[in-house]
Amino acid sequence: MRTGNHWLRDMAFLNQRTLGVGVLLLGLSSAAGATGHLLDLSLEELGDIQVLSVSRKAQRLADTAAAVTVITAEDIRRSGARSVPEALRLVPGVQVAQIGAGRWAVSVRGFNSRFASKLLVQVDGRSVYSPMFSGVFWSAQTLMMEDIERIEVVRGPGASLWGANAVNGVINIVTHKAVATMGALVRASIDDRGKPELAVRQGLALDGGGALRVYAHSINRSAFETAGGGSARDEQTGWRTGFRLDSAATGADHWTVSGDAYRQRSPEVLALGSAGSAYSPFDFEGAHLLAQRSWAMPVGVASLRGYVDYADVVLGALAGATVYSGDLDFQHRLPASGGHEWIWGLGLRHQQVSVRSEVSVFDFMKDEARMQTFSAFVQDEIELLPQQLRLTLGARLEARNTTRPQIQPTARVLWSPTSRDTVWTQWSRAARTPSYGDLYASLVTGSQPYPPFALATLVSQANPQLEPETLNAVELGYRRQFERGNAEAVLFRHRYSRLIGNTLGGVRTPGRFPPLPEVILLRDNHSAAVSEGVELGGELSVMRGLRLGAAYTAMRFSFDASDDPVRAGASDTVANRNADHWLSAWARIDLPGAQELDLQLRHVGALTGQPSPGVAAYTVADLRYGRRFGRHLDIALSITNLFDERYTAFDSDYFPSAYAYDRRRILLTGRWMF
Amino acid sequence: MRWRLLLLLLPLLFASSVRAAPPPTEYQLKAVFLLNFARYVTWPDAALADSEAIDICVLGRDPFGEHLTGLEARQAQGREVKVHFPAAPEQAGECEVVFVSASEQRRLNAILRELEGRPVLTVSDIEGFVEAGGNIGLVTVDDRIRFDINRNAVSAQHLKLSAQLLKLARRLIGQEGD
Repeated sequence: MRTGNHWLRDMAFLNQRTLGVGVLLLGLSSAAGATGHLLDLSLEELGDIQVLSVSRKAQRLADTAAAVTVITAEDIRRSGARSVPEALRLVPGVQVAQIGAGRWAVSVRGFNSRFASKLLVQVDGRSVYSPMFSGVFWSAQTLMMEDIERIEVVRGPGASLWGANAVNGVINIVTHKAVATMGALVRASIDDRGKPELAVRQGLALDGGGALRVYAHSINRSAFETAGGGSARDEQTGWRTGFRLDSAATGADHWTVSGDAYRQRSPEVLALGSAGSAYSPFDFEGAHLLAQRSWAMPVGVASLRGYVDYADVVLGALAGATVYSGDLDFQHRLPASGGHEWIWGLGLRHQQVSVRSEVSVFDFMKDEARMQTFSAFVQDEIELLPQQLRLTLGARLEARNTTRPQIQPTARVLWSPTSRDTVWTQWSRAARTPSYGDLYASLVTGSQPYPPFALATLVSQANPQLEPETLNAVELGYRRQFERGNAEAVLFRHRYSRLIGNTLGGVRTPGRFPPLPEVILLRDNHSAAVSEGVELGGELSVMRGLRLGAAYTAMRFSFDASDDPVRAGASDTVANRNADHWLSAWARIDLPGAQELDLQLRHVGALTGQPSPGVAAYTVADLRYGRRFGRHLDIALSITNLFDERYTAFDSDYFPSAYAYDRRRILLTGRWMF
Repeated sequence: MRWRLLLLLLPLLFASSVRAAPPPTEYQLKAVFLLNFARYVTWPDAALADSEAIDICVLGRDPFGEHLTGLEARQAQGREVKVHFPAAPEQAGECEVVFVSASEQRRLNAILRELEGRPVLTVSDIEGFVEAGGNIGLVTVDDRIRFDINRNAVSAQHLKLSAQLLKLARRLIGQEGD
């Protein structure tokens, strides 16, 4: 096993060299920066000039008093990401751990888990956060990557504007308008284990300037390995089909209707404590229909969005859950006047959760629950000094039938001393309302020695009295746009209180798996924690055809000490799932003849206190070679984990299973567009 | 492992650094495009009556720096070109060309609404600009600057674009203007 030190030293070497070249070139071109000769060229000739293009991310975000990173369609394509979590590795502050073939743990600023309860993820404004599991089932979020226009990642609380569960962060996936995906696209790929995938998409122009696209794609991802080298039997298969219809746009008026339906199967071998293990497929199916319209009001611009969503998961013969959601959201942005820029909105959400369980591992207090949430928000951006100093005040009220209403305020100051520099600071209070799972689901979480017993079954016990968890967050950030790149640095401190933790609820003998006794871990609101750290990110166009980027995060995440050994143990378990540093770095190289070479390095520090054999630090390199043939065809060869490092990134929580290990994967992809 | 990777990377760095003239930066070239657009648009006569010059305005954070102001006093359609930085979209109605900076992405709908129906050519490099109802969207493809045109939106601003401009567009969306 290699140590982090070697790795850092090598990185330093890399930096020295590339910086050297970069500085040399910066010097060269500033001397020859005159626009003069360009003015004599015709429009046609101008179109042939190659530029040193720079990601405009920082500039686009220059006015935002929040730690926001945008992943563009180009970033996604060149990273070779086949799923959203893979693309998120490019963002500082986001912790991405692959548990198995289709299983992921993704979180922002701590609390990493298979179901990160404090992270909101939405696709075109539709929440994909499950109220059943208090998190996102990433196995079911198999989007067609070519449809994604951008992914906006907001680190830190975004609750005042975005709403429920936007406590640690918001991941906002935005798909292309239909008019941007005209013509036909066929993608076929095969990996080195012989698993093929196919995707087809057709875009059509409609009379009157609107457009429609329809698509379908299959998912077929090969299994990970067990510690012994056999198959972890967690291969992911499935399909998704959908459409998006956009009206013509002139001025502020347009509407969109979109929908999809999917089925996914992601089996795993569940470790059921003393009851042994069970091979059990997770079968997901779901569908949604969304409509959105924006229009010009007498003053300002309004938008109304509504959707219905169905999501079902069946865990083999063991259990199942169905969630129906209906959501209506109204937003009104007023034009800036007198230095104030107001935006306000109202939201209404109805969710119905029904569950079934055939085994004593999962136990639900209620078979069905209905949750109604009402929310209202208002935000004012106040210009204190024109173009220089801006104050944003906002608050969201959220009321749900199951808990007390919560007010989530935020105050942000943005200072732009020059047109290239931005400094911001913010304070926010956010709250997470307990989900159905927190309130009503009891689960066996494993088994362990519990003196005087040699082994006991641990049961996390439901508590319908739970109150919302709260967060106070402060942040200080700096962004700079260079002629050839951008950089950002963010310091954050999140103070969580009234966290849902565990205390001893009693010991039952015999428990549900006789002869073992059962230790009841009752959920309550008495835990507290702090996460603090630094997030660094940057991109640089070293020269034409060579772009470099990096994202680094160092984080300290700890719970308040407790005399209660059960609480302390549960807190440690949650804290230990987070690495204290991670980094990714990439180089995007354009070679002559429409060829592309993309290199990506990812390093994640070790997770401490994990069950044997543990999760060690790992460094993995990914390589992608792409080549375009004319206008209609491109071929890419991607090698993830180039040097075939055998590693595991996470110990599956909620649904415990043995560690799964990843090896080198090779994927050949062809894409036809006509 | 790491050494192998560096060996892979470094020759590429040096190989591609042996090039002739350094390329212009993105906004240096985009500034020239803006000037050129101003040469290929027909405004209603009343629109040009208010001032002698063709006014190019930048809304939001200025990404051009001296590259755009350096074009002042150049000519377009026999008139001088002036660059302005209005603080709000309602002050941009008198401009002939408005460039919406990427920093204004969140306010894009409100800006387009404010300028709707005015004889103003809207240009931006915000992704999805023409789809949102903007006139000309600048896109960077293979390190070259291309542009898309929304013809519905152009005719809604009472403007006419020359056939040459339409011919060079990467993508035309919407119907032919009347």
